[in-house]
Formats: sequence, C-alpha cells, structure tokens
Amino acid sequence: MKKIEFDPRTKIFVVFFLSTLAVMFSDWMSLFRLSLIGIGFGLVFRVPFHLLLRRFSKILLVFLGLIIVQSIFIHEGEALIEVFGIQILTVVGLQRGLGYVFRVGIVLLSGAILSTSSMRDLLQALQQLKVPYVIGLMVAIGVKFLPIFVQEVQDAFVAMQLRGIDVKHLRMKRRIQVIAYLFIPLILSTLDKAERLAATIESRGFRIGAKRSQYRKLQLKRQDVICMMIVPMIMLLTQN
Amino acid sequence: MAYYEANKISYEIRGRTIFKEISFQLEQKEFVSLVGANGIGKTTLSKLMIGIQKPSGGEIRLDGVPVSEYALFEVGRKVGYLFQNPSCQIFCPTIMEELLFSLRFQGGETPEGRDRAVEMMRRFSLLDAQNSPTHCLSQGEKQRLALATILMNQPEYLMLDEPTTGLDQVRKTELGHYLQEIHQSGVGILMISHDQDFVKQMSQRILRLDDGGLYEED
Repeated sequence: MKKIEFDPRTKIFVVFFLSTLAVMFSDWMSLFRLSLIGIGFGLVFRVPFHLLLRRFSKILLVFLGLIIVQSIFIHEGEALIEVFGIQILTVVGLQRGLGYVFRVGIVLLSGAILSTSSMRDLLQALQQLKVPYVIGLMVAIGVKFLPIFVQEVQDAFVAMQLRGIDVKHLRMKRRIQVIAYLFIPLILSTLDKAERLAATIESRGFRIGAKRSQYRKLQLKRQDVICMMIVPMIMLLTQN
Repeated sequence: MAYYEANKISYEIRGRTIFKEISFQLEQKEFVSLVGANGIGKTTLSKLMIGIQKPSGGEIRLDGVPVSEYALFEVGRKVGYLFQNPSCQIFCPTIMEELLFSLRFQGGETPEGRDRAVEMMRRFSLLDAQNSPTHCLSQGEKQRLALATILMNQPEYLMLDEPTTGLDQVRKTELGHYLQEIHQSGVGILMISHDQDFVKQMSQRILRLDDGGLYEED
C-alpha cells in the first residue's frame, strides 16, 4: 500500500491547534480528549511512538511527581488518601495533576509530530507560510540542536557522577547546588557552538534579507486539504 | 585476580554488531592502550567498562565485582575517566573550585584537601593559570585540569579517551611525563588513542579492536 505523505504545513497547522487548545483548556477531561486526538494525528503522521516512549520513559516519574505535588497542595474536593487528617490525594488535586500531565504530553507530542518532517521541509514550509526566513532558520537550528543539547546534559551528569558524587543521596539543598553546576559546561558549549555556527553560516555567504531562489516548492495535496478542514472541527468538539 | 575482567562481551546497536564475545583482562598496575580505526567501538568499550552503557551479552568485572552492580559514583571513586572533550567535565568557574568540587560534595573540604589541590596545581603546571576562568583555559590546560580533578579522588585506575587530541608535540611530551608519573605512583591506565608513536612509547600492552574482535599486538 502506498504511504500517504503529508505536507509539513499540515503538520504545523495541526500542531498549532493542538498546542493552542492545550494552553486554552483547563479541565482535565478536555485535555484528555485532546491528548487522544493528538495521539490519533500522531499515528496518521507516523510518529515513532516506541522511540518516543523510550526517550521519555525517565520523565514519566516526573509526571507522576507532578500529579502528587498538585494533589498535596490542592485540598479541594473529596480526599482519596488521608494520613492523620492531612489530605495527601484529593479528587480535584488528582484532576489538576492529570491536566498538567496531559498538557505537557501534548507539547511533547507536538514536537514529535513536527520531527516527522525533515528540517529542510519544515524550513521550506515556514518560508511558504511567509514566516521571515531568519525566524524559520532560528527555529530550525533550535530544533536540530535540541537532541545534542539533551545528550550534553546527560554526558555532564554522567561526568559529575564519575567524579564520585552520589547525586541521588545528597540532601535536597545540596542536590540543587550540584545540579546548578551542570549549567556551566552546558552554557559554555552552547555559546561555543553558536559562535562557530554563526561563523560557518556567514562564511557560506548567508546574509539577512538577501533574496533567495528556490528549486523546490511544497504543494498541498488532497489529503492535506481534507486534514486541514477537519482539524478545527474535531478539536473544537473536544471542549466540554 | 585481574582488576578488570571482561568475559565474552558483545555489543550491538540498531542491529549492528560492534564487537562479539570479546574477553580480556587488565591488571591494576598495567599501562594498556586500546587502538583501532575510527568508529570501531573503542569509546563504546570504555563506556561499557565504567557502566555508562550496558553490553548486549557477557559480563565485565571491576575488582571482582560485576560493573552492573556498582552505582556510577562508586565506579567514579575507583576509576577516573578522562573524556575526549575535557570541557564537558569541568563544572566550576575557577581552578581551585574545580579541584575541590568532588570533595565538597563527598563530605566537605578539609585543609588536607586544599593542600592536595595546591599540590595538583603545581604538579600539572596550573599555578600560573589559577586566576583565569576555567572556560578561558587552553585545550592543554583544560585537559591537565580534568586530569588533576580526577586524581583528586585518588582513583585506582585511569581511563583516558584520546588524551592527545588537539595537543602539539610539546604538550604531548608533557602529557607523557604526567602519565608516566601517575602510572609509577601505582595507578593502572587504559588509554584509547590513534597516536601510534605515543601509544608505543607509553604502553606495556597494546590491544587492537578490529572487525568486532579484540587482539593483542606484539
């Protein structure tokens, strides 16, 4: 069966709706429905969910922490868990926590949907959407360097532990102090990369505002038009 | 009992076999070099040896205990690891702070610790640069600082990933002296390098990774 390819502009359109509604909605049920729709679009755009889950498996615990923290500080609603009269988990707290988790999940999913197109196609799409080239280029560079940045955070954290520091068992204050030190190598390497990248781009003749010729133009196909027409309808139905 | 013992370790990534069922032993007081072509898996092997990555099969023992049973910080207290890019292991704005960094988070600075830091600055010719911000140091100085900070932990073994990268002949000779001095003080060393002359000059044994296997060079 022939694979259906979508125009990157369609993906940008879907992501725009997904992320805007994720910010606008506040009740957990709408956010839950929006997440399901996001997953549906993810499947349509062939997001590699198995890789996504593997990559973000470690932050699933952070998600769980978010739910618990929300629950501890929000005492509205019926208590689900109570210890010595202190409400640990309430219905409203749980709902708000879930709302945050779905919202963060939608943001991650939006990134994953965009990453199914090549950087060159995304940049072309932004240009054809009349977004100034410089902004498009900055977004493209930002997205391209994100995995490298994540890798550097992991490397620096490993290097820190290899210095014999038991980060996991430090007291919270000390742990925050030690993690703050991670930013020094990261900021320096980011500045260094930015400087080298700027020099490379300039040395290749890039100039802001210069008129650029293009060989390839993206064309919207029937599936893109259908997708763009049904997206607003489906998404607006998600609100309570 | 060998300090490092690898028994039939294999490593695969995305269906590609990097090495298959390789075994070797490293003694604690040996200076061994690991050589091989680019992308052959030298750094990967060293990462398996300190537990950052896990082998697809087989087992690596460090001091008689499987590496997988150690926490990363416990490995770090036994084995010092010098990354190819020393900038990623420098965390503090000044040399003195950097040298005392791990002590501060391992129970606190002591007068002995400060004396050791000064001694390290002297030993690694960092006294002249002690007032410079660490990010302004040259590649050679960063590497010496990274090496000095590792030695502040008094490790039993050192792993060096391409320590001669970006060093000129003078700095390379200087590094050779430092490494010999460290080795003579009883610290075992595994050095990954492409620099054939440096490897021959420094090593007691040379291991070559080639075509998924590990061979000892004569």
